[in-house]
Amino acid sequence: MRLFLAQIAAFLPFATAVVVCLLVIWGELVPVKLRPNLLHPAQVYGYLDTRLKEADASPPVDVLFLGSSKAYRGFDPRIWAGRGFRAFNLGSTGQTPLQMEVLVQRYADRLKPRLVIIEVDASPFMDEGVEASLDFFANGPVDRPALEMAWRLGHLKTWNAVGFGLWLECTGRRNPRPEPPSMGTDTYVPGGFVEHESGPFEPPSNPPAITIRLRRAQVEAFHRTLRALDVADVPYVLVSAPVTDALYRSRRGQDELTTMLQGCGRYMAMQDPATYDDRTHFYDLGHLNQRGVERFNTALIDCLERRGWLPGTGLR
Amino acid sequence: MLFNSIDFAVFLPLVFLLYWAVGGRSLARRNAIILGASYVFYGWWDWRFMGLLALSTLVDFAVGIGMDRSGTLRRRRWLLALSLVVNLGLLGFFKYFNFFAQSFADAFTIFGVPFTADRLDLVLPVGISFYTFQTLSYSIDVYRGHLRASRDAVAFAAYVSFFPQLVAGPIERAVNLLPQFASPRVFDRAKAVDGLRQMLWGLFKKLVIADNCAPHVQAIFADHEAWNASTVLVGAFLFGIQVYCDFSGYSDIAIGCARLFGFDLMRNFAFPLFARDIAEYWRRWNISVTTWFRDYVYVPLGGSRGRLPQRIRNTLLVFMVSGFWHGPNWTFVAWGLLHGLYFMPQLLLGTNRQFLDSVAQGRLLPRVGEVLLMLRTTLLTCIGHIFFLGTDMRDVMATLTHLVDPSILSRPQIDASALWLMLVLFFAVEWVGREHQFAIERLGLRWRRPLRWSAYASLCFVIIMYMRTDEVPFFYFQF
Repeated sequence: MRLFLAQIAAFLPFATAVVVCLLVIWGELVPVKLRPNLLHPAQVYGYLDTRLKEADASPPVDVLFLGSSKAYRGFDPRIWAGRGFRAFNLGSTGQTPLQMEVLVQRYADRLKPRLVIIEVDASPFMDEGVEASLDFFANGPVDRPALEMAWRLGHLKTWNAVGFGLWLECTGRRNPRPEPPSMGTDTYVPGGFVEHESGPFEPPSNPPAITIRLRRAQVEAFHRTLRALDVADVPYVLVSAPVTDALYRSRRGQDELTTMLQGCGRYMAMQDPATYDDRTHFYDLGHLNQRGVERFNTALIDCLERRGWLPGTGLR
Repeated sequence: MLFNSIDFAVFLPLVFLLYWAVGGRSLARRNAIILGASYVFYGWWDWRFMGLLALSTLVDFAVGIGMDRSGTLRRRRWLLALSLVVNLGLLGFFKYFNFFAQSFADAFTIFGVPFTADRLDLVLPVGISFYTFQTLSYSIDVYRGHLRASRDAVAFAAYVSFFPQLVAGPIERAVNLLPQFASPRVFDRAKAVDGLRQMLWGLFKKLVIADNCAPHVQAIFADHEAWNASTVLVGAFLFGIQVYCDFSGYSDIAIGCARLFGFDLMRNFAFPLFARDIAEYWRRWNISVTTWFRDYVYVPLGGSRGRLPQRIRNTLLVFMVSGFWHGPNWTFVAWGLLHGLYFMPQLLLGTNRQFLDSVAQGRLLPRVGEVLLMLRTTLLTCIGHIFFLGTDMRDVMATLTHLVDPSILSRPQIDASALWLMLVLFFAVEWVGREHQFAIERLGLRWRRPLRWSAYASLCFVIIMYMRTDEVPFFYFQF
């Protein structure tokens, strides 16, 4: 029995070493299609690599945006600069509260925002957060907050991405070249925003119904993030960016989310079918086109100003 | 608790250490640990199921003692009837009540009498088909005098609920497993290592092959008309692989797990995908259930004795009953009947025992003729799978009609590069290991340890890299 247990104890580190070696070989040599559990979407979409590198070199900002693609495609720092605010957008693809927590830990001190605007759509609260975690490990550092996020997720794909991300980081080969400023219909705008060049959009008349079910892990991460901002004495506003009326109407159970958000402090729901037309202001079901972005940002600044929730104007 | 869950990954080492360390040399204590662990394992799904398991156990334990004490055949017969009524009654109620009620109503409707049947909202207790048959085998064997009744309630309860094989077999015969609970067990390292190896291969089959076939099969058969005929045929082939890898994967894990505790369970699959005819296929597929039906249904019916019409009746009947055991649907009965019909030519020609050895025994590659025979068996079973997958007979007929379409010659529309790669690995390993108890039984046994361990670690890596990351229940749990 003792020998058996000793052999098991010896086999486990041995197997771990072999698995790590094979992970690296697979990541380096095997095409993406043939390695379903090792996804490393480096510089593929969303400009997270460029955004994080810019954030690392950025001076302190007045306003910091967090959230999913609705954030980095919805909050345009150029419009905020026009109203006298230095803003930076730290949104990322599919960003859930678990990833938001990482960004707050990393950048609250560095960027010293005077206001954080958190985009609070239902989707990130319903999502496991795995896809967004892969984006983080492919385009960002493997540091303590990111490892904590991986631990909380406890997902095989995330841990494989951690392993391969560490390998690239140790060998100094993580995204050595900058991303091209334009990819397809997307153009990166300094300050973290991504502008989408779009044609006319015809919304489907009956998108499939979605029932909103909040994941406990995401709600907990969200509350931890807000607590961290409170501790750092950074004010925040929760903003529901507009989505198409078609998508909004297809969602069931929005009330639970709204009640939770209202209980979290300053909350603004910007959904307004009278202001935003599905065909004129969106390029898909969930994202505003540039015309919509301009209307939304202007309306948001006005609204925040009226409520006195904006930091003192004037660039620092 | 699923074998492919984190819960089980924690549960198994804990029970293993408790069993060998705390259990000491006391047989009773070890049996009690097995019993407790088995009820925790089973109750993890739904604690209410434990009552049924306990009831089944109590009835058969009492029936066994009653039969042992009873001097008259009549009384023994009554006791056996009691066991059959209770066990089959529970199985029938939970599994078949709605089916019979609906069929009853349909029969009235056919004769123009409107009749509606109320459906009961019943939850099918996991594994009821398996443990019911296991405990029935005990009563029948005691009745037949093949076995003395157990006087040790804990050992008997542990035999009925033994967690490695409780929910999906192999369905153990009391004559094989029960005496093992009564004999002292000494830890055997070689046996435990062998068990771990078998569990590893079972996990590969389940997590990598079966779980990755499942979404393709599901997509194709959810709307077969949306796909060309060749895709539907490939879907049926993938379903065969899915079911085999899922079920035999479970059996491998169960047998391997039992070996860790010093038990030997019966073999349940013997590489049926390489069978050269239907008779060989059924000798190699789900052996514990097939032999159960042979011993407790086919033989009492008269078996292969008697005149030809009687033999044909017995064969068709046993195939149909085994089909019905899978689930309350006429499609399963038809599936059983179809396999019975496949078997008929061999029964009539007396060729049902022509392939008793492994295919290409002692050779690396098969002959062309052997390949053709294996392909024929595969094609026949694929057609059978369509019955297995159909929601009702109309659906089955529509799928079969769809197969007779010129698009059967077109290219299948399945994009699954990683799955094909894994299937190549799977078939290669199974082929090389087909003469052993399980495919990797002898893998690397003569290699130096670092190389052998590297092979096992590589298999772990393949599982990590290609497994589905969501927990997929074992397919046979629904039966």
